[in-house]
Amino acid sequence: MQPPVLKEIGQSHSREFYRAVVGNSIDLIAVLDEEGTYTFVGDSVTAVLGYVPEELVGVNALSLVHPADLPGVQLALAGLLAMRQTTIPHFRFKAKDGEWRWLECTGRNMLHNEHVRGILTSARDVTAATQLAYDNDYHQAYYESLFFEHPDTVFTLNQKGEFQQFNKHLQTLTGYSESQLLGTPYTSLLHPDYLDVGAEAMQKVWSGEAHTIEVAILTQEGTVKYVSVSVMPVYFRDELQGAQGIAKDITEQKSIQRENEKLSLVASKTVNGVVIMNPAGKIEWVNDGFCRLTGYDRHEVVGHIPSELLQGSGTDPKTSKRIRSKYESRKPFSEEVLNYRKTGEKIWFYIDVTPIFDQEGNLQNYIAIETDITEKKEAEEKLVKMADDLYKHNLDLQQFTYIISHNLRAPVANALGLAQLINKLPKETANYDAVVQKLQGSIEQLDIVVKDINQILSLRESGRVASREKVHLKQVCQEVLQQFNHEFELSGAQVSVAIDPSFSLLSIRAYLYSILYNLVSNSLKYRSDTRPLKLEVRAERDKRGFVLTVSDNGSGMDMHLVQHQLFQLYKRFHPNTYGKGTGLFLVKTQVQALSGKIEVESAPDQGTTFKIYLGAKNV
Amino acid sequence: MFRSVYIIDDDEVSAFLTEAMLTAENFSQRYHTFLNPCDALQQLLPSLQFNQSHKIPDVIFLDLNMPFINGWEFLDAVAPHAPQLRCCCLLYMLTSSLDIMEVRRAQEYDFLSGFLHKPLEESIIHNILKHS
Repeated sequence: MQPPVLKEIGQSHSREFYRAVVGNSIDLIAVLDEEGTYTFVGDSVTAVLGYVPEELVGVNALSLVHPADLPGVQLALAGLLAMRQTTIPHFRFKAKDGEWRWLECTGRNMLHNEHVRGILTSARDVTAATQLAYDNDYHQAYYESLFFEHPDTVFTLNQKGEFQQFNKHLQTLTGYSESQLLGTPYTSLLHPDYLDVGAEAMQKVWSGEAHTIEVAILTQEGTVKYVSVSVMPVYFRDELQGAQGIAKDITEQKSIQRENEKLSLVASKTVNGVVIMNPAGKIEWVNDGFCRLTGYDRHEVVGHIPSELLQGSGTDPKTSKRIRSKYESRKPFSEEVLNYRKTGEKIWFYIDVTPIFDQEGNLQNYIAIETDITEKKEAEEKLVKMADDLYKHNLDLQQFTYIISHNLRAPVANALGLAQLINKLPKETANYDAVVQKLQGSIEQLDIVVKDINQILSLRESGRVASREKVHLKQVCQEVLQQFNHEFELSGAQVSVAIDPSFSLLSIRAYLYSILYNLVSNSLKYRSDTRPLKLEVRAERDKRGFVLTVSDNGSGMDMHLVQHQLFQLYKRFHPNTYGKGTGLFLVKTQVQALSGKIEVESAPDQGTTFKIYLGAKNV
Repeated sequence: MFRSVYIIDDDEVSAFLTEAMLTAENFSQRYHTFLNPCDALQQLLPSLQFNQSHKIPDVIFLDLNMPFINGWEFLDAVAPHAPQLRCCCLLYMLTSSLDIMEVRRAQEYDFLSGFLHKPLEESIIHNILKHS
């Protein structure tokens, strides 16, 4: 194209015309000699590099080329000189301000042209474009790293949803080969149950919204894997090109999560109470079962120690102590323990406690499982009570056998013998009337024993069912003592009563009366011959109720001899004093019917003290 | 006919009856009735200890059901002197009890001559008299 231009110079345009055209060109036009020294520099150099043309003429162009780019430029220059078709690589050139500019340059050997006599170069500043290309390469490298080196599966989809590009992890994840996957729609990997979820998510992506979903896929082997996939739309110049996504294999987490969900379901829905405690034994979490069993809300119990919250007055202190020491031993254990609901209701728990340790052996938690065994315990208690009742009945039976073979049989034997004797004795003898009288006595005694037995039997029965009423101890005591006033006066007895008038309890009044009556009557009957009777009746409070004490200074008993038989029926220990041997037996039976206990202390010729422990049930 | 008999029984009527029946059969020359078994022991134990056989009664009728010490306790108290009792004294349980357990228990005392039920009958008295 050069020759026609030059041809026209001479014909129609002035020399100044060409200067102006070259000087205002966007490209930098210059001419170099064989060495590369500027012989001509167009005016556009000022716009491109900041120099004025005169500064550069006579300067070797190679001296301004970046040393790193110099070899390429020199090679190109040599090529031009040898008249070869030569492309000059982009090079950096020092501008007036000292900065390097990327130049794109073409050259033409015109040494033989008589008008030019040099190498014509045309250069343009491509710094911006080169920087852009560099940046693009740079970003591309990052993108590729992100795409191919990502530890998760990265892929791109075209607008049809087919795999276009992916890293090696997609093969590992799915088990399909690269060729099997290329061009395959993503839907072919999805588990049928997740097709809807996938389609919905992709719809959002195509409408321009990035989206993360969890789906199940089917591998080539047919196994199910769970993946979390983030898919985002890709736009280029505002045009939707497709989508790219990152998929993470979460099969393991999913199975752990599902196991946890199941465990949590078991822990929260089981009928048993589940308690998780910290190493100090304080509650961190309880399940619904615990709340249902105990009546406490979760927030009420967190931070508390279960035993302090649940145990109560009826809990066996030995069991509590054992549980505490077992917690301290840091070994699994189980116990049966009486606890209390929030309402105060009793509930028996079977507790199963397991300490949990971390890998270093540090105690992390205690887990307790609490099973309601109230029904079982109540059944056990009933059984024990039944066994106790049976035992008592058995004792009663033995005692009645004894009564029948001795106390009932004795007057019968006497009557029989006396009747025989009467037959032998002539009516006139002095003895005859006496024998008849004794016969009558024996039959009367028989009648008394039969009546006693009847009374005792009815007492035992009613003791189980009789209703309790409020009884003031002092009042009953005074009524009893009044009965004996006359005898006290006759014998010169000193009687003292120390009972707080406020003492009252739920009891059977007739029994309390009878108990006191028998004891006071005994004190009178067995008083010492040598000193006047001193009788003291007092009552004190104790843990369970009241203790009633009746003590005298009478003839007393040798406890070694009597202790095993004192309260038995028809036992008498004072041969010289009238008595049937029923009094103390009745007292004991009545005390037992009131769920109480009786104790006795005595010493011969010193006196006797009876203590009656009247059980709880005080008002 | 025996020389001497102890009747140990707290039941006055029973003791009277036993003595009357024995008297009617001319059982013994002397009858000692003890309403309190302790009194009988007090008399008997020294005689057994010092082997004063003339003071030991020929026959003892011992009741079972008595206050303070019962028949069993009485037997236990004299048990150390079983040889003397075996040689010169007929010791009988005489009780109104029909309890079979007590008959069995009595068999443990080999110096007991027998276990008799009240009231004492003529035929029994005659049987014992044959030993005199």
